[in-house]
Amino acid sequence: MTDQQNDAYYDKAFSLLYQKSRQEEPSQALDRAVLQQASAQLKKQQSPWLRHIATAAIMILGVSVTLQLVTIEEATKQRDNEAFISEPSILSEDAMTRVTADAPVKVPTEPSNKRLLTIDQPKEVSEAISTVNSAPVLEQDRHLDRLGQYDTVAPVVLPKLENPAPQQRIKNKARKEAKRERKLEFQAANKAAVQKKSSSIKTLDKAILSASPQLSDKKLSVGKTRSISLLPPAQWLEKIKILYRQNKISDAQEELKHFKQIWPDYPLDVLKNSAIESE
Amino acid sequence: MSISSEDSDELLLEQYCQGDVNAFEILYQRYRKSLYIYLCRTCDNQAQADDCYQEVWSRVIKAKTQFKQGSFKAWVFQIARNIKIDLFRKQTLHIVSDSEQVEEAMSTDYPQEQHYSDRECHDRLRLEIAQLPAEQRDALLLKEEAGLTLEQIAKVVSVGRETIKSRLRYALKQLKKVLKDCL
Repeated sequence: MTDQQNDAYYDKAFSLLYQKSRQEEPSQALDRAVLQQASAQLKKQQSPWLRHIATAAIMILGVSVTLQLVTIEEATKQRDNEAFISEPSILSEDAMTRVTADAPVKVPTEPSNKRLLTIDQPKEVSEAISTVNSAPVLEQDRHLDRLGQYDTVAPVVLPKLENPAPQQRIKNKARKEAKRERKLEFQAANKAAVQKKSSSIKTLDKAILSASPQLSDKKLSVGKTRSISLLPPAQWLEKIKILYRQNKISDAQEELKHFKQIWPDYPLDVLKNSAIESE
Repeated sequence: MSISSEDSDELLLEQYCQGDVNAFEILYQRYRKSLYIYLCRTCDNQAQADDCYQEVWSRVIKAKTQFKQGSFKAWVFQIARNIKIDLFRKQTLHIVSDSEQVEEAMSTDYPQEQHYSDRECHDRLRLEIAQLPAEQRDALLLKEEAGLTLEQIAKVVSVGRETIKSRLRYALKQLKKVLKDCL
């Protein structure tokens, strides 16, 4: 017999009676419910690690996107800093005196991301000029403003200043001056292009005038009004004068009639002698 | 790793945690009856016992990973006891009406013969157990039904070992006295 059996809290006869009285049992429905719950819990348990993987993937994605954004932001800041850059000559003497003497002026080796509207880009300039030329006069200023966004000067890194406020002022001033210079430069280029265009028109006129009478007749007969009316009045009158000289009176008169419709107040002194001669 | 019905409760639970539902079935078969009887004899009626029983296993399933060390048997019966106490707190009025039922049952006149049939003895035993003070009944059932040691019962009930010993002694003395014809 064990110590427990000797003790007063254990009675063998009672234990036997108790064991015999154990007749209750859970129903089969209860058993089924419990076992189903156990297997369902296991299935649910297997999915959490998929959920963990998904969570981890989302977190990694989030972190990488954040890092990417930070990188882009830094790059943008750097580019903005470089955008302030202008040629040292643009800086006024007052601004330059605020720059610490020992601060190095750095010219970046990499080209700026901004498009440069300079002489090195004649195609772009010519395109811009053609756009301006084809636009009405009032729109030209708008085009010029839009074109002002192009950098026309080589980028230069400004040295860091001890006090940020003067540096900002210098940058603003430099930017304004650079913009003004760009505008002037563009206007000059525009003017040159217009002159070039007018000279080419003159050349074309000369070529037409020097062409054979047969050809010029043909041209005039095909698109008389259209081709001649595009010419300036002086040139148009010159052509009419030629027609008189060639004794093409009817053509000349027709052209003159048309000319008067378009330019009613234009003096016709040039044609006086020709008309008299032809008469 | 293959499992067998001779594996310890703790090992079976570990296997179940790792995804082996058969381990749980073995574990369930081991304790389904004792747990159910414990609940039947401590609850007021069978419906309550059924609810508690399902709730106990539900908690075991959900909290399986929280079992770290010790006896699985003691852990399960501790869960059962806590659920039963929660139910008791919720249904105090029910308990009063049931104690009336117990009184009615006690007042039932048993035949004054010396020898009772087994069934009669079993019914009387159940009734006498139900009549015991709750602490003594709890200790007795945890010992007889769950087979816990004094230390384990003391831990489950959160009292000292000697207190449990004392409660058991009083309970046994009372039952032996009223059931002397059946013993």
